[in-house]
Amino acid sequence: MGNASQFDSPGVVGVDSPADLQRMIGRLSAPGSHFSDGARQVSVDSVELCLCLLDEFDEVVMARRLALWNSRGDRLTVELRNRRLHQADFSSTCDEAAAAAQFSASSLSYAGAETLQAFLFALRAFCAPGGIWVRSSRAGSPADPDETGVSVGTLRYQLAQAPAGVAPEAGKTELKPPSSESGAGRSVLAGFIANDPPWLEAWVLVAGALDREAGGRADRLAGLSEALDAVCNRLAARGSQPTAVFLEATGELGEHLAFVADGPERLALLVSPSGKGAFLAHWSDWRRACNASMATVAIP
Amino acid sequence: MSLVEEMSRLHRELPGCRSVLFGDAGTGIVLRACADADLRQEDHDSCMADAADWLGPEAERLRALVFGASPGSAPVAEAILLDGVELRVFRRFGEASCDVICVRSDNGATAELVSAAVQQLVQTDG
Repeated sequence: MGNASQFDSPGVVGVDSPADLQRMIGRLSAPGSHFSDGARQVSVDSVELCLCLLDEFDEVVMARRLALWNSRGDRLTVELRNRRLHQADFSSTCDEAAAAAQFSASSLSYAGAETLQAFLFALRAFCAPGGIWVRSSRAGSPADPDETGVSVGTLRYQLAQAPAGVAPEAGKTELKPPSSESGAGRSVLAGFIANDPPWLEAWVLVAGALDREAGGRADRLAGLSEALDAVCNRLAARGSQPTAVFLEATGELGEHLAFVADGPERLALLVSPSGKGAFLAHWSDWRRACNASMATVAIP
Repeated sequence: MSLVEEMSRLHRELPGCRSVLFGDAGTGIVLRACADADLRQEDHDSCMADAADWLGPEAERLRALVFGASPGSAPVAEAILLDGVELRVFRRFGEASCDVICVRSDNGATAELVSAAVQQLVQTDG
């Protein structure tokens, strides 16, 4: 299971995830499984086709390169590792998929909301009726430790949030790490909420004794601010920085709370009920981006 | 598979997993531990104390500050503590239960993966 030869026949989509055998078996034995007859049956709906592709991405643990073609002859090449999308390269013959060009040979290194929406817009344009063919091979380049990639959970969440048929605005698709100059202010933690992630419902940022900023749902800001004051010392007591705590609400309808501390800065977040996975993926991406930027600071 | 077997499997198979604890968040007592050999009882106690802290009354107070004091509001189901070194996931077995699973992991699996694994364990044995 999971070798390259499985993918050599057009129309056959396989899974390369020996580490997750139990889940794989579950999928194979499920009634109506896409894989039960050896070929994936998908509807003509582009969103569903996107979700099917993301399912496949989610199965890839070892580094792989997938080359995909649609019925128009457009080609998408992706590099995947550890269930994360690292590179996407579109080549399209169709004007409708012009947005795809923005991702040519791009390394996806930060889960910026606009970037992902632009990618998913291009992916939807790629997922045209008529089927998709896939071929798998080993990844072309060794893993770069500075590459963060984007988790499939984040992509799936963004796909659910993105309005159909809305193209990303021009000039908003540049891949950027969190910047201290963007977002809510000039602090490091402002980078965490830069680009207004869709899972974020409200936030309060304390960057100093008197410097307090807030955004999002007005009815929650006072409470968030109070909670942030209450939790400050407990987070600061932990030696390692930055530190975050995520408090998951019971049930599916409750919003989650999260608090982040980094040196003197504090951030309180109200996370949407379905935003847990996206928040955790965002934290991982942000930490890696921070580590990468710290590693490249020149010492005078 | 028994809870202990599930805990042992999790400790063995989850990348970077240092310890899997089962205990009572109300009293802070560790009832069962599957852990790396270099971890001591004090480490387990500290982890369970974190669980009691972030799943207990203090967490409820934080939620009450944000959402208001609504009687009968559900308690925090899971707390995830993340820092640059390691992550700790604490999860209740049920809404009103003091039984918790604590997983401590470093430099291995992502928080999403650890959380999903703990959730699966709790659903299996809950």
